[in-house]
Amino acid sequence: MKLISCLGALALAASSALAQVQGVELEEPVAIPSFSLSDESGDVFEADQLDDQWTLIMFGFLTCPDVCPFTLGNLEAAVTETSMRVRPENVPKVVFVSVDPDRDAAYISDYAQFFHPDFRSYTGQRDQIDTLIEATDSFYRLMPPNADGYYEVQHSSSVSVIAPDGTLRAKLQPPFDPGLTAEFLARLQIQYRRGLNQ
Amino acid sequence: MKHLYSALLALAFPAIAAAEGIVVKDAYIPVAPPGSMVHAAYMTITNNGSEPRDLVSVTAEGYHMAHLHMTMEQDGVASMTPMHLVSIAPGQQMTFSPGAMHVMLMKPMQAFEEGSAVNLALSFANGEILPVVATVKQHDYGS
Repeated sequence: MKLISCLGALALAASSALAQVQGVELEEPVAIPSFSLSDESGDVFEADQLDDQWTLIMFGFLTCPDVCPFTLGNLEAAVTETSMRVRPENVPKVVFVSVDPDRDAAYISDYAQFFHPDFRSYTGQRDQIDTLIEATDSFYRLMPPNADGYYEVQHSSSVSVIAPDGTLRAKLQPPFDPGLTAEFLARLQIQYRRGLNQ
Repeated sequence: MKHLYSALLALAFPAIAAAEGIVVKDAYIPVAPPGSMVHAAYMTITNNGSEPRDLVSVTAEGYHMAHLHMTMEQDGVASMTPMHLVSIAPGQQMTFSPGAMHVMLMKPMQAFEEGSAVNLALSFANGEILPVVATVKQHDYGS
């Protein structure tokens, strides 16, 4: 998968050095293959639900104390900013995928909604998780348990941006400056629509 | 007498815990999703003394276990490592913040609502134990 240079660096010259979007836009959109995830209430998340909307997908696990809650809270701020720049139907849907179904499957549905009522969290069979992980060029690894029985999970911290045609368009690295991230996403949407009109 | 003074100081100013040159400020726990079994505490620890101080462990009332942890990110992959020793030089300020060092709080024994206080205790290598009160609150994500 070829990647062009970070949009953030050149597009945001007006911003201070500290505030920038760490993101890459893919040169070639990547189609997301079919997959099926779900939550304990029976709600499903499948590839065809990526159509006709913008989706932000992040990976993590529920016993993650630091990165996952922070990223979701940060995403809420970024999505709120985005909602002030794009039409309501273009506000991205946020999906959190747990790569740790053994511990998380029983109570996965509550997690993401805590950060915003429209956020969703799912998990599923290992091979389904892996399909989505590979398609978004993400990574995770379950580590051996410690003396207390707790096992850590290493995982990509990046957020995948999926366009309404179901293809991966960009990846964003937290932490997110909410305003700048919103501008990045709004610009990405304009470029996408221009591409459609050609 | 010094210990009594420190204890009185900690009681009088719960937001600031201090003892033997160590000052802890802004200790907080972001409100966590219901059902979450692992929380994090963040704070700033400054060593205003003339000797290096070695933080070795932490305990938290209302949680089964507490550990000092550090989040690391390499090539876009986040991982955590336990910290068995955090050495704070004279004049140094250690910040426990998201994406960096944090106190990992495991298995809460009760629901902690926004605004409630959680009693933590920082243990140093010289045997000193410093009580710190962390407040449960919403984290500011900059929006």
